[in-house]
Amino acid sequence: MHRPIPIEKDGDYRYVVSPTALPEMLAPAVIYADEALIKEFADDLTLTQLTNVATLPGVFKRVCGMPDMHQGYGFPVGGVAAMAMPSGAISPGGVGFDINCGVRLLVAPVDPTRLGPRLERIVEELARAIPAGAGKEGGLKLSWTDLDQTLTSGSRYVIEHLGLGLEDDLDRTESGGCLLAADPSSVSPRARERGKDQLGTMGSGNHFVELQRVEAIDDPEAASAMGIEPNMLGVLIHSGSRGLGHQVCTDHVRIMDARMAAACVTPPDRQLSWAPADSAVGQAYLSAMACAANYAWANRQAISHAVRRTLARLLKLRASEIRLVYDVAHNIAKAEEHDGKSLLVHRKGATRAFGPGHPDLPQEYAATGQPVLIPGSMGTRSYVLAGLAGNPAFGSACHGAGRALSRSEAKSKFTGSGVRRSLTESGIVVRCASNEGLAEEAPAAYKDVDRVVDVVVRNGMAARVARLAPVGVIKG
Amino acid sequence: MAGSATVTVASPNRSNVREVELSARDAGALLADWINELIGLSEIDRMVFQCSHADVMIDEVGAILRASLRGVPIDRWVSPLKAATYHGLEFGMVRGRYRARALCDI
Repeated sequence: MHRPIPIEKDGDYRYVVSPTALPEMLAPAVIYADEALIKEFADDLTLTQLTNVATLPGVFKRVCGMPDMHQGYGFPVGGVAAMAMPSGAISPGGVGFDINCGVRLLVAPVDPTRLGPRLERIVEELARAIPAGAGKEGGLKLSWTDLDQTLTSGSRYVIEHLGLGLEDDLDRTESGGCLLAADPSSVSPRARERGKDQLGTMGSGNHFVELQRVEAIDDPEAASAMGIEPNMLGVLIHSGSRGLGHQVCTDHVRIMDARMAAACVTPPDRQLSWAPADSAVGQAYLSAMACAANYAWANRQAISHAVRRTLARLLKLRASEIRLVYDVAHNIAKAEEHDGKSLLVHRKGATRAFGPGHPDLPQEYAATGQPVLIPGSMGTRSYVLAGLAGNPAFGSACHGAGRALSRSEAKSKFTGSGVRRSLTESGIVVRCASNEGLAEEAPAAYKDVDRVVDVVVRNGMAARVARLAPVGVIKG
Repeated sequence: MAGSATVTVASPNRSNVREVELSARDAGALLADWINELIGLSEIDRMVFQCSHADVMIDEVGAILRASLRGVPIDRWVSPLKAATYHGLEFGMVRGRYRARALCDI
């Protein structure tokens, strides 16, 4: 239901919906935005969805809307909510269908401006090496045992047992690429079947592999700690848990929807169905979600392996010269401590952004803070930020530019051939099998990433480290 | 709301037949389950399915669907549909006709 939401300005880059605004709200909703971005939330269900999240049991202090927030299913994309443990709500809709959809950045000591015609071939070969699109074609053929081990141990299993990466990669992956609560027996046979042959595939929609040039350094010390230098080649990888994650979400929304109906509880949106985190239903979801998260980390690790092999061959590099900067999840629920409380933090379309000295960071990032990777659209710059202490949003930041137009609106305004031509004229090599997919992902279908990042920085969520400009795009 | 429907389409090719039985707490959930069943089967089996027979029963306590599907093998699964959601799910009678809505994640 679309209802008017009374919203108050609470500073230059912050807006608040009071918990007294709507009778069901248990906490205020805080939206981090500037005057232009806040207007983009006015015409759809984004704010309604954020205030609906504030009705979930156990919600702690506030729910947060990132500046790239937009309407989702039940829970807005770009929403963050922390629930008091042990019995606060866990909602699969608050994690999303693509569990542990996330981004990783690799850098290589190569100046992309000097690649000349080789750039075209590199993009072509990467497109061949990384299967894209919906479905399961082209993925690694895992045995059922390999799949179970991947669900249990994530990146570690595929590095140590399948040879898909370097030991250092684990330190540079959020949570070491593995959530320990994973129990493969909590994953349905349908989900397992969907995931069996999809490891190492990009998927469709907004997933991509992009080649970038390090365009500018904002914080030389932090950039140096992250191995980032001016004019380096960067590779951004955006993918998730594929059909397996979608099936886990589908299975558990269904279970929680039925549970709530049996208890005569009506959620504000059925996709926002929930269960107490310490209930059997809640624990079953958290276990299955952990499996899907581990699968997603393993998937991005497998894609990284294909990227490293291809770049090493074509650019005569050693695999170890192609350094993983970091891998971040942006659709996940995690047990964390904030303000001295044990909380279950839902981040749906939001990136963890822990500051310097946080115990969950590897030693090499202890002084800089966690690398926070913010992809723009395929025609605009992307950012590397670093998390800051005192983050006001439970250690979170935005996850990208955020959609300004729905996919259907984008398709009605842009053509794939037009987008392809425009990118090519800007010197960006594009490989995408679907013109329709290109139109959906047109740069103008997204908010202004510079503006979004500015709001993040001004609210003390993260600090700028480096800016990247696209030179090659491979879309799912 | 109570109702039932039977649909029969063409004759099945036995080698690609799938028998499906779904039950849900209401007609809306059954609609989402049915779409999700088709998405999952198509992705796993690499087939496009035609429903050759379906029985649907809806009453106050829940909804049941029994269907026979006939699959046509395809080289590559290219549908953008990834899942049917429960967001904005609708199923009801409007001026004597069924009206249903399920939003899919793509």
